[in-house]
Amino acid sequence: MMNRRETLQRLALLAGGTLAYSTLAGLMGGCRARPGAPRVQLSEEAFEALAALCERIIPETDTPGARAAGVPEFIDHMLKDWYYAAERIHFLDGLEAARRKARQMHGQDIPALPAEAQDALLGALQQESQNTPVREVVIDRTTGAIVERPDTYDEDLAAGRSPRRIRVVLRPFFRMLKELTVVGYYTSEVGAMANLKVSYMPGRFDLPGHYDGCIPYDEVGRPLL
Amino acid sequence: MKKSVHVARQPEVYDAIVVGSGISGGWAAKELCEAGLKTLVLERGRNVRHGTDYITEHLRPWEMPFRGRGDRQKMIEDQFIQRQAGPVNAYNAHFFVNDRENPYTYEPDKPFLWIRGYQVGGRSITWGRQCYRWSDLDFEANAREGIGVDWPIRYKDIAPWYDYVERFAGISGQAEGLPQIPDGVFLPPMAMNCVEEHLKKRVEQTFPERHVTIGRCAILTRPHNGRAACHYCGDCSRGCTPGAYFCSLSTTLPAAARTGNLTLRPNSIVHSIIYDEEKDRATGVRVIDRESREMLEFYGRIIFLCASTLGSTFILLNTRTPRFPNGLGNSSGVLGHYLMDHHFRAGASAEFPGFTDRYYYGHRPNGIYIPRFRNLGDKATRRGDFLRGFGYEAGASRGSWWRGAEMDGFGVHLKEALREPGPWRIWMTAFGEMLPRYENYVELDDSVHDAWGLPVLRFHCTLGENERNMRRDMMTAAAEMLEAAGFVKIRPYDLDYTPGEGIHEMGTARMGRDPKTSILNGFNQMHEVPNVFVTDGSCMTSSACQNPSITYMALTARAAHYAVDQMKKGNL
Repeated sequence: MMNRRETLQRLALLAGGTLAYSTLAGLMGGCRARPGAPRVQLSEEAFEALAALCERIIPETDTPGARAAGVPEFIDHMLKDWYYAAERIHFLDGLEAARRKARQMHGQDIPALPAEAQDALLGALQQESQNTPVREVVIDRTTGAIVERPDTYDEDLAAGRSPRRIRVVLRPFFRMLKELTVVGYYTSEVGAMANLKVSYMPGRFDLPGHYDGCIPYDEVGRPLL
Repeated sequence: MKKSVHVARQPEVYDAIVVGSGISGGWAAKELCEAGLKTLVLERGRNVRHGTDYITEHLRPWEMPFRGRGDRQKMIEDQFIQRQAGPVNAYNAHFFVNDRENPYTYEPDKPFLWIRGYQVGGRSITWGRQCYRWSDLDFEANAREGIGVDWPIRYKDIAPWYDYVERFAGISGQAEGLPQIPDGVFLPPMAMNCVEEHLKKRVEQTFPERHVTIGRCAILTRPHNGRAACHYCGDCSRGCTPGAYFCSLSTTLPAAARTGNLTLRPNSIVHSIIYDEEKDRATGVRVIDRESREMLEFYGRIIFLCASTLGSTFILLNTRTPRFPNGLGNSSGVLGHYLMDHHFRAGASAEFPGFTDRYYYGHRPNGIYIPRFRNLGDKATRRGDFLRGFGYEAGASRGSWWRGAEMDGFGVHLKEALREPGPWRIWMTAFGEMLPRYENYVELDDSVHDAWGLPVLRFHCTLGENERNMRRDMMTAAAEMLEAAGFVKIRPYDLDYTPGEGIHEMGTARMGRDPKTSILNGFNQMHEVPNVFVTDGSCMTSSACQNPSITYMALTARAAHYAVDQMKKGNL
């Protein structure tokens, strides 16, 4: 029987190793949004502006930043395939507005600005987002376009069919950007492995995990994945 | 029996047919096969192989499409009902039905969430695994208060069967000596964390009638019957290759298969029961093959309906014969009525200001439980504003990186903050008893058909005054316990529960003593068609507030042994 410290060390060692999950992940479609993946939605310029903002939200420190974790590629991918058209347009409009603001304030697009100016821009966007209410709109599910109310959601579900119109919430650009950056970073292999603790060995049933209900935080050292 | 040119005849007559392979069907299969009966298990969904088909087990977010957030547009199109339920997520969505293929209807202002798992293993793959025995407080309640009809059984009738199923399934928990949740055959309990221990101490000091215990759950805390102990990955509902939690696929179906008496046929949608007017017996079932859409017949001496509460009731309602024009065995007219669930999503959440240097390790797939403490039969716990009671499921944990999405700020400060776990938070949600009411019911809706041309169910179900009054207490009582234990930022909540959302649907083919007011007798046997047994949640005469699955297991095992005994005596 291993003691806890040994188990933790062993798990930590293995967590850094390569895991034979590529086949399964491939079958599942995996996540194509890895660092350096080709753009699927954004123009090169817009992508670079987005990447610069993500990197200021989660910068490189002693652990990798948003860019090295593939966060901009993740957002690009989500914009194309996860969001409905109205949401995508809302985000892209927000990104364009941020780039315009950078040019107005500093005469240059976001990537060319020094870090302090990028931070000032994000600060301004954050403040703006706090004064902007979320907007609930009704969209047509097949086109993703905003349509007139009322929606048919409740009525469709009650009749046992897929909703033709649904309600979606359009949050201020900064809040969408920040949520996507945080989620994209901590759900990436690079971000999670560098900042969090994996408490069991995926796929390894010969290395059973265990549960400790109350131990000093220092013995774990990082938040659990 | 009428012959039809469209019907492909299957010549074999099985000793028993079991409809469904979830928690109840798995138990029926095991008990009947072990008694030597040649048993056919019909499962309407696809086959799922234990281990091999757990395609998301242990996958981490970066190995999942959309990082585990799910293909939202596809889910809104195909799983517009299933996606609304809390336990359904991108990692287990393939174990829940396609709502376009399997529709049902309701009045737009009275929604019902019918959350289903159509596959071998049913919802035993994704269930919540909490197991609490019922007591005579529950079995006697209807008779005592004049609500619905009396249960035809008492705790003494089911107690040995609780022992029996617990011993095989493996239930971890702490014996507490509380009459409202009788102790069972337990494996060692899981541990509470520091904040949960603290809550327990303070609550039990402050409120003598209230107790805090670790969740009793069908998860192994040590190896048991050839299955491994839990490894605390925390993601049970994706499937567990070592079989650490109770699931038909890992536990009962393999036991049934070992006897050599089991025939399992997936993709077999039961259309109705074949009832022979002359013999006054059921002789088999009509099946639509899910893939070929061919109509088939299978014959058996006895039939166990274990197709889930509303699945079984659908089959009975859809069996319309000259003698039973309103559904098999439904001369009483109560079939489909007295639908119940557990109403929840009311309670309180809070933060705990201490223990900042303490943490936990591993993902415990279990919470803590505060058993019912209202209306226990004494004066002190009696409420004037509602009957029955509720129990809390609760848990404390430290905030994860998720809180970063909503925190103010960005940059190094944000990143550094997220390298520490957040403050201790606790949530408590009550699961409350729902009274059986005639006006909560399902009926056949012939205006809509599923992908195989069958009519669908139409739901009529709302909360009554008793439940609405109870919900206020579910918030208040939670908040006062958190206050007594020194929590801060206490937020009582009622998040507006939708019937069905508890995924504990019960009733609609209830047990009772009188054939005029019930469908089943005390052995889950149909009063009017004695070789048909219904042992899933549809048999429930009242709902209590405890998670019901362990009771379905015990009732199923008991009914199976009774049926075998009756066959031996020549009565069936």
